[in-house]
Amino acid sequence: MRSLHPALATLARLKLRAWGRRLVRRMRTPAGALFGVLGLALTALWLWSVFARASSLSDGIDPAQAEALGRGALLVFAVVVAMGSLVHRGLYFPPDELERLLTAPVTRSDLVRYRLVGMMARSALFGVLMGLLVAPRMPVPVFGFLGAALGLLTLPIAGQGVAILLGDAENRVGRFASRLPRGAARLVAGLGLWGVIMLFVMGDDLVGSGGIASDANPAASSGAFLGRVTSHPLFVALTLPFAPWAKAMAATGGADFALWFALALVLTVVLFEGVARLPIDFRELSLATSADVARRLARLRSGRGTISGGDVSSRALGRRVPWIFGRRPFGAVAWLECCAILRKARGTLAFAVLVAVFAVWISTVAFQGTLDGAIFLAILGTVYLSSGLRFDFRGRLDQMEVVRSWPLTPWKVFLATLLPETLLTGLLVAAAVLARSAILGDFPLEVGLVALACPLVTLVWLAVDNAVFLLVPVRFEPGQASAMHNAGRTLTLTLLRMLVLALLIGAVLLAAWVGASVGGALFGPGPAALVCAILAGLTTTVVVLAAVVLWGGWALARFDVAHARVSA
Amino acid sequence: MREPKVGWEEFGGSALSVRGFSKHYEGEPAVTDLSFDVEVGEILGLVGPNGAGKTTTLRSIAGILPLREGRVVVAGHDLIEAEAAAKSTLAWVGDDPQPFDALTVWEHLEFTAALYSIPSWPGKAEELLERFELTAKRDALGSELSRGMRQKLAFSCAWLSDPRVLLLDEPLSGLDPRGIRAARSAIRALAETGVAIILSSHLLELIEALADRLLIMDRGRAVFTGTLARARESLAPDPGSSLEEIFLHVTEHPPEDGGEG
Repeated sequence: MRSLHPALATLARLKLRAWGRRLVRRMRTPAGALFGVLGLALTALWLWSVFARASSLSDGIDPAQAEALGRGALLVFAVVVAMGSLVHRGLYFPPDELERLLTAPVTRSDLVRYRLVGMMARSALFGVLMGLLVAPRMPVPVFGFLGAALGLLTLPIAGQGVAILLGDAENRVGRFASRLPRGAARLVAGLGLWGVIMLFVMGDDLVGSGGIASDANPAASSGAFLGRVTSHPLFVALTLPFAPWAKAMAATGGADFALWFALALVLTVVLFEGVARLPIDFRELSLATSADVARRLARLRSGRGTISGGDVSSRALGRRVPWIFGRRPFGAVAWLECCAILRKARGTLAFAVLVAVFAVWISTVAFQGTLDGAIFLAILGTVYLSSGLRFDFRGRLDQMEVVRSWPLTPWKVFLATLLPETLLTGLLVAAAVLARSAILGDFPLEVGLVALACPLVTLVWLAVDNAVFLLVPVRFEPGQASAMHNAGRTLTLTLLRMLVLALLIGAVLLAAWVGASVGGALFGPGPAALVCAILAGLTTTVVVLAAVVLWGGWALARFDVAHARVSA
Repeated sequence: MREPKVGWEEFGGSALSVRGFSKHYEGEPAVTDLSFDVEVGEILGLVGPNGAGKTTTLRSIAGILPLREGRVVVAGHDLIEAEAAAKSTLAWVGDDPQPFDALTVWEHLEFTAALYSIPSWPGKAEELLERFELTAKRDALGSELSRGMRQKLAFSCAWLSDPRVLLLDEPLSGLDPRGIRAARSAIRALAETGVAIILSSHLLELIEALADRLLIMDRGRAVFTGTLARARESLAPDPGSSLEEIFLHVTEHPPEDGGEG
């Protein structure tokens, strides 16, 4: 195995140092430290829950079953890696490396080695986490950890090899012809992954050997079922390449482990060197792949997810988007968001309707009470849709300069930007709540109030999210270096939104109660007291919503484009 | 609703007035105590080395950056007290415009017309598409435009909004020679209709050709304000020096009086 080119080794070392420096710098800011600590706490909590669950596993772990588990897990990861290779063929270089390294006086093998080392370094954290996850389920946890970690370091190497070989195939057969096998291969890979999962979940039915668990001894029956699946010739054939790593994971003795781990290590080194020495010119595909990845990352960094940052469908473009909020400046801003929603999220909206139908069904089955199910549906729908549809300031980071120059007072810009997404999400969720009541044939007043409250709750939910984003504008940074911060930020935002929402709903309910009490004292119990309660509740709702929107406008007025760029 | 335009005489003749403007980034001064005026129909050339504070100044005047120190009055509207009214008289073209990827070129103009309450806009929009050679791209999406096309679209939107003050930050970057010629002639023609323009550029030849007055900045401060002729008189190392020679001289040997010319 040849060592890394000295210059590329220096670059790798400097980039590692830069990664650490960026991490430390981010932790020095109050928001960075808070989100980092919260993300770390969240990870620790997850690991603790994993170990707590693992400790309840039975002591006697069957080595054969453990090996089968290892093989199956590696197969699933291999399919995921292979699917990634199908999308990004050739060799990916980040924008700052692309032209510099392709023009550098180093061989292509050196470049492949450099990228492989980088990929392995990035996979290391994932390998460690998965190793920790797998370890308690293996006969000797240390062996389980080491075998799993090595396996997960090896898979990206294989994936890179596949990407380069496929890239070469594309060069040979031409771009047009290659599209057909690409789609077919993705389909086969997807079906394969689905098949493996189904084999684990519904194995007995697929294998055709009766029910999963007998009433007399469900555990024994499950064990027998798993045994049948893992001994199935298809499973054995598919997982054969992963045997050395899986045997190392499931080893019960030191000698056994040393033998299989050494073999796995040799195979990893051979694979590494084999991929590095592939006699293939990947430069053209690297340019295309790197540009594609850079574009996707830029979309993520600018706050646009895959939906709001996606391409506009040509069919959607042919239709005029109505100016439903008028042709004044306020309506123009809202129209802009309507265009983005209707042209980019048509597929998502169709999917959201399907999810809503499914959620209605689940809530109808899972909840006996009409009100409980309606509230569950409202919360689930609001959280899901408002995080999936990002047609607000979170997706406009690159255009904030233009937004800030618009001739409207900031609160109007804030409200007009949020209004289309609020109405869409709120009305969809409200429709789901009412549909559920229609299915149940039960329409209590409370369900009507929940449906009415849906758009208002959505507005508060989105407004808090956007106001915080405007006050602390941090660009999304994909990758492990920012994983903790992203997780911490998400957790903080969710807690903050829930807190604000709870306070605001409490204020409205309190006002309604005070209204009812005052109305009752003045006019006596009856309809007049109810009217007073409703009026007080509505007035407080309007005041509360106005306060939230004004706060958002204040955040927009304070928004500093330069600060957002510095934060990036 | 856009406020009715006031007569130029109501704000003392200056279309744009900046007084005592300063800006800091995390404690570091980016612009310090900057004051200047731009008259009706005047083109002010804003030049300076990288990091001089030109873009920060333009962004603050445009309302993109919050104004915390100093006062900016645009067409008689105070940027802090009447921000929306001030912005309705302003147009801004940045160095790398980012169009909305879900809107076509024509829809960008439609949106701009609604945003700035421009009546009977389609005819003017057609003219602008013609002038900036965007007619063929009328139905192209913002995401499909090249850098030069994005620049031309930004010009079209700015011209359509019927501004009193136009701020141009490196406006010609990305344009081809034909586009540069069209943009230069459009800038000059717009100034002749009474629009005050600040033109920031590293292309000193462009500034020399278009600007009526100069504002040279260095390290956040104004080192010279005045006409090119005055700059030649007071700052030039040699009679008949080019703007480039003056620029290099004045940024290496800044005048002690701030260079009021």
